[in-house]
Amino acid sequence: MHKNHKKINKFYLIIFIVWIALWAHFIIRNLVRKGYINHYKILLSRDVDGKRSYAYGDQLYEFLKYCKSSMPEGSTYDIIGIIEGSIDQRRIAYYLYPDLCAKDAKYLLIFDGGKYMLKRKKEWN
Amino acid sequence: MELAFFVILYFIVTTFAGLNIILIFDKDNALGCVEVLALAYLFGVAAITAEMFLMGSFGIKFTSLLIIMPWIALSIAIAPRYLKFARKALKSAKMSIPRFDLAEKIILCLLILAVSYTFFIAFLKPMEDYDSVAIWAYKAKAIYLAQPKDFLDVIKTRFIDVHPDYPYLFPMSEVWLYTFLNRFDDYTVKIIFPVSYLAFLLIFYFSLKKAALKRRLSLAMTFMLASVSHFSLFATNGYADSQMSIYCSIAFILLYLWAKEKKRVYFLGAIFSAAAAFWTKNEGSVVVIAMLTVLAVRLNKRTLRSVVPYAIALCLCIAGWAIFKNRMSLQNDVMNMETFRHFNVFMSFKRLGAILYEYQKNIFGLKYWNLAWLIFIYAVVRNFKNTLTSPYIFITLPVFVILIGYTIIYMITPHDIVWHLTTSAERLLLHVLPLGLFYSGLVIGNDRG
Repeated sequence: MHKNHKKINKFYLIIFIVWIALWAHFIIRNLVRKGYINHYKILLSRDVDGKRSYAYGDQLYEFLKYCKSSMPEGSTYDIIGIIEGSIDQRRIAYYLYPDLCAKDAKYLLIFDGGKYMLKRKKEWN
Repeated sequence: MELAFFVILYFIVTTFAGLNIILIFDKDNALGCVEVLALAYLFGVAAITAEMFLMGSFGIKFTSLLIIMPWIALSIAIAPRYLKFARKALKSAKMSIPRFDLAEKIILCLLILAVSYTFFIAFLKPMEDYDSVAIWAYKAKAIYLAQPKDFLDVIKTRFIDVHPDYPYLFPMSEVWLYTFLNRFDDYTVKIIFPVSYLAFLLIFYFSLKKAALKRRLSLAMTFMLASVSHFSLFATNGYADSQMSIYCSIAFILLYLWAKEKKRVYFLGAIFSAAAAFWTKNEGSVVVIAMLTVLAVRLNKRTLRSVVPYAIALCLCIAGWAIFKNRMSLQNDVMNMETFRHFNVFMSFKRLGAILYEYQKNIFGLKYWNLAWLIFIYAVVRNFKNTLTSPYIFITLPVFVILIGYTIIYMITPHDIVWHLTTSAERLLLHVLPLGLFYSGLVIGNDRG
């Protein structure tokens, strides 16, 4: 019985060591091979605004800041150049709120990577 | 510095609210001080978010003072219990903790490392992940900026394409911090996710110890849970699934302890946690079904009187939310009555292959789950005879009921099944992961003698 217990304990100890090894392996793999360490370095060196810019993509964030400063709060907008349902579209809706995306919008936002534009409805009708 | 002060105050106030609930439940001071505080924080979040939701529904403006006032009044009413708790806290502070041996010290260091890593990841970025910005943080921002007078209007009109029928614990917990800080700050708010994770780890550890496991094994199991990649990741990214997993697991862990020790606080805490799970995500209704199933299976003449009124109270909470959704015409944009109109039994069963394949992928998905699911399967096989006997049934039956419930959802979903599975199966499995590891801990503890 005592021997059996020893065997079982040894078995569980091995499982626990394997668990630790796997945990460490996947963290190190992400940090080194997948280059997460470089992302972390960049993110740590930035302030909150910079972190958001890095997470959203610098071009998209620049565009969003431009839109936010150009539209009065509570405006409606339509957007061209962003895939419906994509994470970018969700980030835009979130960041620009309380400005709302609507079909009959007051502003048209055009985003094409590095180039972007904002037009009032009068101008694009 | 000012920000840090308000954040710390936020946690103290939230814990204080939850402490009232626990002290009402815990007449006999059955819980230890640390687990009381961890549980109090999580219960405080659930209670305050429900309170804020009611305030918003009646057009009352959210202010920290107004929100906390009922809890101050309640604490005065139960002052003797506070005194009793304080005496117990002082007594336990004087008691010396047995020294950690080398193995325990190593596991503790690993645990601290895993928890610190989670906190580190949480603070790398502000809210940016898909569901967080599309659903939870978006709702929190809209509600915070709209209140008080437009609260119901915002719920009714602004969330049409972002699951308008989802419950509000998670977004309201973010609104609660914004209210406390008196500004919208979606970077600082991320602290609430890893803190909930830490609070739950403490509860998990103390519950394992209460379940008669030795300290070393309890520490090891807690480290294993903390280091599961998915569990730690979802405690950082602003998804509601981590919170859902926490309330779901507390509900059945406390039920297990109730079955073992028959203390009232565990049963009431379990019912409260099930309600909190229901208040976190729609999947919480499966948790409630699992809770009622377990209670029905284990009900006897002796427990009938003490169980049934609370089971009814739980059902009334669900009915209240259903009535509110109906009156506000809040219907899920994906799963609704239309889904059942197009339901085809034959087609549903054809999906089982894809569903089982996805589960299998997760079971062997070491990258995200480490050995967690393999150990759980081993534990079920190892303890097969007792898996569905008391007290194990309070952990295992809910796991099976919840997994069956989710499988049925996949069978009737109108989405493309492969897309639906790949985007959500791992999150649904997360809900029962702590229960799986808790059960594994019990079996290993029995084996080790």
